[in-house]
Amino acid sequence: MNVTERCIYISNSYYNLALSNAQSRNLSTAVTYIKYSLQFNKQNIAARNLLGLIYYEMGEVAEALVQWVISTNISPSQNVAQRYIKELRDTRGELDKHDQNISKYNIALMNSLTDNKDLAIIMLSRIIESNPKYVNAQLLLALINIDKGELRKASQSIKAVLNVDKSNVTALRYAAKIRDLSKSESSKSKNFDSKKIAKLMEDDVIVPKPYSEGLGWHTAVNIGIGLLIGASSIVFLYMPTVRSSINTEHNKAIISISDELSSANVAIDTLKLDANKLQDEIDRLTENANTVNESSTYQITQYQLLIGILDAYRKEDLTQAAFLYAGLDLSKLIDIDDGSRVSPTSIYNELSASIKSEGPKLLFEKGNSFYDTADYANAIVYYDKSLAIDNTFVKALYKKAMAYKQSGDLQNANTIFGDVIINYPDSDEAKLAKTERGY
Amino acid sequence: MINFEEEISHFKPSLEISKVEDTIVKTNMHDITEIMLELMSHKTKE
Repeated sequence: MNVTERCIYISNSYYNLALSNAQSRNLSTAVTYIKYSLQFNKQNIAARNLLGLIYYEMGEVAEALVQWVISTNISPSQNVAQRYIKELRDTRGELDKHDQNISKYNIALMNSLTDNKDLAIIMLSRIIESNPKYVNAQLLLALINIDKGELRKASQSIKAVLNVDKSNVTALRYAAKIRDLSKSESSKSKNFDSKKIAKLMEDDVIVPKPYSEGLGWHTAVNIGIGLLIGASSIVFLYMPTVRSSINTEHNKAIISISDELSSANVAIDTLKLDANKLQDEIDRLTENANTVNESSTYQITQYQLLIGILDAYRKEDLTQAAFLYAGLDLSKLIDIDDGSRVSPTSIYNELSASIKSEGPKLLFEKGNSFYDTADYANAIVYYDKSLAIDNTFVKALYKKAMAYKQSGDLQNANTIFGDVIINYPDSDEAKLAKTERGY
Repeated sequence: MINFEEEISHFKPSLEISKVEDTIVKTNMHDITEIMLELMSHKTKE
């Protein structure tokens, strides 16, 4: 056996190994053996066609075409590779679909390298939807999901890869990592679905039953009971205490306000009393003021009378002077030392001597003139003026009584008759008075 | 924990169908038989 034949035998041996692995879905192992086979015999058509077929199954359609085209170039006749190429070319949209998937995968790979993982996920999801057997797309998607912590999604991708290629080293390594991660997270989080992940990885790891299982209406009931207990404790324990505290505070406030009200009422009463006192004082002062006004007016009137007396005396109307003199109040005439040397009291003293001697008689006669004309009212006035100057002038007194009698006022007349009789019993007027009175 | 940066470096871009012709042309078709024949020819020349 020469070297060439030996190489062919070795190539065929590797091909056989590759074929058995490929039939067992150990595609990655089969690819390795096929490459060895082709290194020993590049014209091993069967190996090359199988390699193309494996590439096609794994979604690497372009690689498959390369191998099939080379195979057809090596052996153009009765080569199954031609059928593969023909079917790929003639099936409508098949080649375009694979071409787009490959392009998207390359773009997704670039996005993953540039940290646009979300966009890569979107593109890879579309690829695997079109071709679930695209191993590299599934692996890349699994890697990104593992990096994002989406272990469940990663597990699905890895399972898809292992369904195509059981011996895929990368998928097996990722699966081992996910198992490790799922074990560690199930111990931390009770909601982690580690059981399903383990099952997905077809592992016999015993996963503890998560505590989260069985949640549902039990939890709702427990929460409701807790709320009822809390509400009851508030109503029966806390609220009475609070209410009592509030009442105590309110009572204190009420007492305080009542005290203040009482003080206020006392103050009001005091103020009212003071107000009354003030009003009395005001009234007194007002009365005094009025009295002073009246006194001033009265005093001024006396000076006017004095002036009148002087004027009548100057006109030699002694009767008028006596009339005015009868009404003069000497106590109101005061001498004011203002340097003018005018003395009202001196003037009064000068006049009073003559008026006192002649004045009563003159006024009596004036009264008689009114009596004779039956003007008893004026007669009485003059009789009174006469008596004001001389209150012992019994004639004026009697004639006054007679004037009352003549005017029909018997009561005053008899009273005055009585004064005449009692005070002047020896006078002629007394006898007349008895007669006039009748007793 | 999987190192994303390390793992992503293992991923190579897939051969696109538009590049199939160029790839075929550039493919090294030498196998061991040819290498050995070449070695033997070098030795013979020596």
